[in-house]
Amino acid sequence: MIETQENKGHLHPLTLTMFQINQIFTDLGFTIAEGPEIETEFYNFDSLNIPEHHPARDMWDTFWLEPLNAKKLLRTHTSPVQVRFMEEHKPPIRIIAPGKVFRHEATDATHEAQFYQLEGLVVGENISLAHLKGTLEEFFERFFGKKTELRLRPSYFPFVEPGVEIDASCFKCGGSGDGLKPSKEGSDDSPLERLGCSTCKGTGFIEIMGAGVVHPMVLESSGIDSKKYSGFAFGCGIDRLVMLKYGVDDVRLLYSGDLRLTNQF
Amino acid sequence: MKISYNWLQEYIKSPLPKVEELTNLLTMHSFEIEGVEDMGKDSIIDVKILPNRASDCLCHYGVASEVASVCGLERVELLEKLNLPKTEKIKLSLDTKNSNCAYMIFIRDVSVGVSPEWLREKLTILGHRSINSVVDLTNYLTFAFGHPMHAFDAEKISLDKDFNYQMSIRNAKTGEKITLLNGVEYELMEDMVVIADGEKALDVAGVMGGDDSKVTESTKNIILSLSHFNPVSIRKTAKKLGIRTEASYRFENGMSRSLADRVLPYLIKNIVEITGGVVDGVVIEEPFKETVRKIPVTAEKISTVLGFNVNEQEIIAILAKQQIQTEKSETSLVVTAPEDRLDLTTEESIAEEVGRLYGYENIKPKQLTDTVALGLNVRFFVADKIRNVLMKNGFSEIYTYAFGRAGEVVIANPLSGDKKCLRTNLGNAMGEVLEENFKYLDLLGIKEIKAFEIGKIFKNDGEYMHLCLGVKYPKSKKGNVDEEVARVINLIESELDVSLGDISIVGGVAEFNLDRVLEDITAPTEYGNDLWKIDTKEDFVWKTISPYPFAVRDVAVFVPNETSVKNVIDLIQKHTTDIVVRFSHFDLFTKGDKTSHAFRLVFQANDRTLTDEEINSVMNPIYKTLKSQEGFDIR
Repeated sequence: MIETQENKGHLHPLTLTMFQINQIFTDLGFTIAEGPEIETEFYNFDSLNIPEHHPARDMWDTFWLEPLNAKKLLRTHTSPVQVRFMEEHKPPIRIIAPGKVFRHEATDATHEAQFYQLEGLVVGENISLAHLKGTLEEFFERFFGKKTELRLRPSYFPFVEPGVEIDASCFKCGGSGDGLKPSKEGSDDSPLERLGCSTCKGTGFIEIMGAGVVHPMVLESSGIDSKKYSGFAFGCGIDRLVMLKYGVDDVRLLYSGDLRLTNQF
Repeated sequence: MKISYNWLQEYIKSPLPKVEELTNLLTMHSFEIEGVEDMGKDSIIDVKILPNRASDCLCHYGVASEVASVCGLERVELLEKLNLPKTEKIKLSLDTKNSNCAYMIFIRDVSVGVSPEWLREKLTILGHRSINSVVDLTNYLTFAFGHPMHAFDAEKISLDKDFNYQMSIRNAKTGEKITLLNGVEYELMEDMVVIADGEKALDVAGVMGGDDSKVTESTKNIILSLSHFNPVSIRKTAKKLGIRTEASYRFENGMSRSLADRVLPYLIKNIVEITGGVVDGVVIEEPFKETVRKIPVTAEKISTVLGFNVNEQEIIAILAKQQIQTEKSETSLVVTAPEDRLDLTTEESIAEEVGRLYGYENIKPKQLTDTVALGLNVRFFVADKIRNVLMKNGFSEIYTYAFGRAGEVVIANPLSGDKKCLRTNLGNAMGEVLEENFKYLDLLGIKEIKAFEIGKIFKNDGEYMHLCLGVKYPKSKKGNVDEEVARVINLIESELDVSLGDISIVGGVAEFNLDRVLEDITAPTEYGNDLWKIDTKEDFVWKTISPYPFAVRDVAVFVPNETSVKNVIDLIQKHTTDIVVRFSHFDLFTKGDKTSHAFRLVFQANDRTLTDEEINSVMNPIYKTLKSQEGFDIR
């Protein structure tokens, strides 16, 4: 317990997580792509099959920039990087795009107006949901350091079809849903302590990302022949990965500049 | 969408599976379930209906039909399509391109009162209040079949010269005013659509009815409107007026006209039974018919998208569960999209339908096989190299907000006044971070604050990746903060083999544009093995940051030179409890045959402010123990 003055500094848990993401996906042959944080309405929405006045726009609460007629905004997701990359590159494509995104929403322990997202895109011949599942299982196994099983559930994002939500088997309890940690001292009789794994709330699975097969309209609007090529895409909150992996209990801490956070890592 | 379990049963012939099994099946094949509320004899299931399924599933019948498919149950047959006689009492004209279908039904001699109990229950279980039998019925049928409708008190509607009700659907006149059912008066604009009589607007189409023509207990004759409106127009109107209703929500998502035919027999049957009204007839204006959507698909394409093989027979059988008809043609299958499934338009949408009903759990993971040329991201390379240099030199990394009180790029809809712009520098936040963290030196167990941030800043002419360094020393520490910043800037230059030029360092803070470095750097050919290497601490346990103050106590003791420091530490540690969050040995010197050791203990609890007594109850035994050792002398 005795400590001496340390000479090394500390990297932020978001950085540590992105280091790990970058390493795993580079090993899997993915190129790291990026795009601007100030986006146009076209790249953030229209090019992703979310036209103006479509109710799906309500799925992304948006910060708009002055002047409004310039139609600029703070990107609400890293998905515009998909389109920007596809405009510049021919298939086969295999990229990730980690980056900052913004949502116009009230903040609390699990919601922030700014956070980091990991985008992924693979385009080639005969790319399917099976490749999505195989690639992401590999990623999460390496990321959590534990055999991981993925569960796909139907969902909807306008830029993919089919669209799915992905749950990963819980890396803490291994998918059993059972709590592993012994009850805290002095609270042996508390039933709350025995309800189950705190990471997955006893369900055995963690909701982890949205994904799907790239919508042919998105391929076509980026100049890629959707008859010849298909692809998969995914988007995942990096802040959420930090919170899951390290147990950080309030997302707002990540942007507080508080070394009581950073120096724990 | 709140869905009553018992209500679903009304549309299914055999008993439904238990709530938990039902919601599990829906979760894996159809929709996310946001919650289940146990109401005793019923359960309310909160089903997340996303925009793609709004056209058919924002109602109990739609969800029941989905339940029938995923549970393999038989649907109750719906009432047959009803053809009502034409009424001469209503003259209807569609005078806007924002509506292309309207049914207006005239019903005489209704007696409006309190709704029967079953009807009131249907609404209250979903959290809506009962108003009167006619209004309740229109709301109930909206939740049952997804088609919003509106009832007008016919006596409040103007008559034409032949004493007929003069109804029209038209654009509002700019400045036209109407008080709606919420009691608020609205001023309308020309791009909004209203249902009107010969004199005035009666209802903001697809959004909310007017107060003047509402049905009350004294209403004798009613006009029921089952109309369709352009989704974009409804969405814009609801947004501009700032009112979202059950009706506008459904209309803005687009709706099949077939829903009007589906709900009509239920509407007439119930209105006659409940109000005793007499159906005079209907007028229908429907200039354009809905087209039938035929989608050619192949088993090969569907298998390619899903990543497992399905054959034609399987596709036909799976789609049939959803009452989707498929015919074989010479080269492909032709799927006829059900009228209410506006989401089914492409081959991929059919693949999704097949995939989710068949079950995504059948997908066997596959690895990517073809090789793709790996590109190297220089910006990540540079930023991450710098991060490592700084970390090794005692700097800790921070992330702060991109928002600020002042700046060049202005947010049109900021969250608050102090977040109305995007930052133009990282230095301002760094200054605050140094100050703030300075309070925690002892808690952090460090002797100075050294921090850095890498992030985007925003100017009128674009966004730039900046690096900011900050150092703050306590008065007791020798050395110059600016020199420390200059030292690490030199280290960065030599690590990257670039010159960063003149960088101004003020008060221990320096900031510069990293994008500039990218122009000068020799492009690397690989990221290298160390770039993203992290010390993985398998046993890492996050410690919640306590909001309560911490307290510091030092103890210094002279001990005989031959006494080991470990010996002293052990003596102290015997008395430390879990309120001692940090314990460090911070000073040592020798004077004659005695050595002085100084220790610092930091106290804090997660759930309370510690009292002096609590702290003393740890410190006093420490003093006592040290004093009692032979040759020990507390300073």
